[in-house]
Amino acid sequence: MGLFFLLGMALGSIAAEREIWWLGLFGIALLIALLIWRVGRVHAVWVVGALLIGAGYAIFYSLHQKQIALPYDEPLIIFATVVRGDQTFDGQEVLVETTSGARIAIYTFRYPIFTMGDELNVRGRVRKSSSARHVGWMARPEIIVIHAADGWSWRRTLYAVRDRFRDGLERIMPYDQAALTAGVTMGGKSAFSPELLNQFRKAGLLHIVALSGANLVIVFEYIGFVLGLFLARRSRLWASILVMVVFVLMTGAESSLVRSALIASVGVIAETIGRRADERNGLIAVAALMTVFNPKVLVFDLGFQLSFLAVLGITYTTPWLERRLIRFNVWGKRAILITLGAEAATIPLLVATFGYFSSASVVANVLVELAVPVLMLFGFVAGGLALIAPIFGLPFGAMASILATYVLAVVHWVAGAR
Amino acid sequence: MFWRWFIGSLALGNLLAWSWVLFATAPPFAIYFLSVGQGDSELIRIGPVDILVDGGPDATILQRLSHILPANDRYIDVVILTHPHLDHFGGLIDVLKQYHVGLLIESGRKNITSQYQTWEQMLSATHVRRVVLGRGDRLRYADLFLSFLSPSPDLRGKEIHDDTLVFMLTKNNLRGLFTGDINFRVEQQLIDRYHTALAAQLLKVSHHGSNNSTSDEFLRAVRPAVAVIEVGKRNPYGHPKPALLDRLAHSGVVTYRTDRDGTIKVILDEQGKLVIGKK
Repeated sequence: MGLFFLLGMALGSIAAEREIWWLGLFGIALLIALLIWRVGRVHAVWVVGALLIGAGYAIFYSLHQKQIALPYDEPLIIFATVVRGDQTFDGQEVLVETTSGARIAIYTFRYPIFTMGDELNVRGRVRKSSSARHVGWMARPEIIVIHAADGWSWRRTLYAVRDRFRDGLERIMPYDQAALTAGVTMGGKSAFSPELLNQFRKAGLLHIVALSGANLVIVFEYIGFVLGLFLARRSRLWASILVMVVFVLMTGAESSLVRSALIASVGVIAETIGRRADERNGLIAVAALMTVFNPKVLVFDLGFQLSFLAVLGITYTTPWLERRLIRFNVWGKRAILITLGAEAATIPLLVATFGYFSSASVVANVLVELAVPVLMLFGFVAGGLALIAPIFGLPFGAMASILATYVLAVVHWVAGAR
Repeated sequence: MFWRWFIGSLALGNLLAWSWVLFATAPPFAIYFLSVGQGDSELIRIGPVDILVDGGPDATILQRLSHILPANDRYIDVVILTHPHLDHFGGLIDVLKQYHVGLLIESGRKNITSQYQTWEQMLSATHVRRVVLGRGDRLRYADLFLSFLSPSPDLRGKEIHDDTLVFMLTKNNLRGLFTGDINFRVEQQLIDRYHTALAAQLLKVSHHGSNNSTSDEFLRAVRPAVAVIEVGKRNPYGHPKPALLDRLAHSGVVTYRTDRDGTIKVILDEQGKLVIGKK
């Protein structure tokens, strides 16, 4: 039933975006006929009902979004509140929400820093956006802070901790290595220089800084290993989830990270309990929950699709590989097989999206995937200790620098070879 | 097993970290014209002393500094801000966050932009010592001298560029003229006041190679052998202007550009001659 709900959401999003209502009607009519023929009227009613509810919700959401669309490419004065701000290498990306509920991405100077809750007067032109997360974007508009955010906010506090963590890494490591380590531990590529970003894209390794479901499964493995020294299996599972919750909160609880953490948690819980069917149902339930907040992510958000597919790959492909390679025991085997399972599931979508398949990037992925979990571990410890004082984080920062330098060398090599 | 790996990693990490601290060496003398995009930044290193002139527009300066300075070297002795435009002080805000700065030298001219206000707030928060210098002032370390030629103490320039800090670097036989973003008017004032004392082998071309600076008369007064233009790739201003490049070529000046050549490194060989390298 959940699957058909999701299918309805996907179809509804496409129909609303491309205004092909008539195609939806034909499709539903065909489906009803097929279902009655194969499974009987009762089951057909339930299935079609779930499909129509999903489609109807997605269409309603899209219509509501279109009503709050803005006049594009005209001089505009907007009053908006900052939802999220993120400094990049050469500027700042600020997501704001207008008084009418429209979300706009603003690309502006690195300073002054705009924080969540700031109320702004923005003058400029809004360009139409193809993103699922905002309806428009603006480049270097004139911005006046009408009212700075005040009072205590748990989210603002978490963002501040995250920023201090990143600053701490930059103080104890060379810049590129710190940017990579921050991306691997906290997610995000905002500190990457344009040249480094381009090299990561060419090497097909940008996903290692995305904190996807696959990365978080590995984080779960490490947390579980450390906790396993002190706790029994079931206790270890729930303690791991608790640590993961704290981690997600600390990194700012971005919706994409919450999604990845939920999906990874379902996979780990089901694996621990040992019920594959529950895992599948759990994944569908998580996907349905995430798409309720924004149905468009199902069809138009590549990050969501990759995260979901990666965990599906880990859930089904990794155990298959483990059974066939049971005689091979090398250090890091589990991490390699998790990577291969995730890659097998996501490569078809990546090829369909970007139009090419890079065998070099598969090799690069295997070469770095051993280092990435260890880099995450040293990065967390280094950044955490640097929060107290940079000198405490220096030894672990040195270790993280070696691993980060290795990953950067692989990236440079593969990017240069393409 | 886990604890052995953990303790071993910790020991190795300590060894690496302390080796950075104990065995780091500094070059005797070098000037780096940093590739920071559409902006200016130069790093002068003499022995253990680092002097940073401007910081470019954004965090690019941090990456460039990390390529030159050891990871554990988080102290910059002197920062010189030639004038308060974003393409010169923007990156310095990040420098203050990541490095300790011993002294800030500035012209005294202010700006009213929100970015400049952030810069002033950062200076207050980090309690950096500040000093205003101008024409007639000198900075010295060992045999390195920075002699400030402009602006005049009363800061009467109409535009911010008019009050740019201009200084002559001298070390042994090397003379290098750092011009910030001055224009034809200020160049003429310098020619009228200093005449042949403007002569220098090395010239930091003013204002990213714009067409209202580096006149033929200025080039005749300075007579540089080497010129460096700090400019960003595909910048919206069309810098460096073809007319300026022609003037440099006709004067027989060997010209380097950060948009094409990356960071430019200048050192002196054993005979005291200029050696130019690209980083």
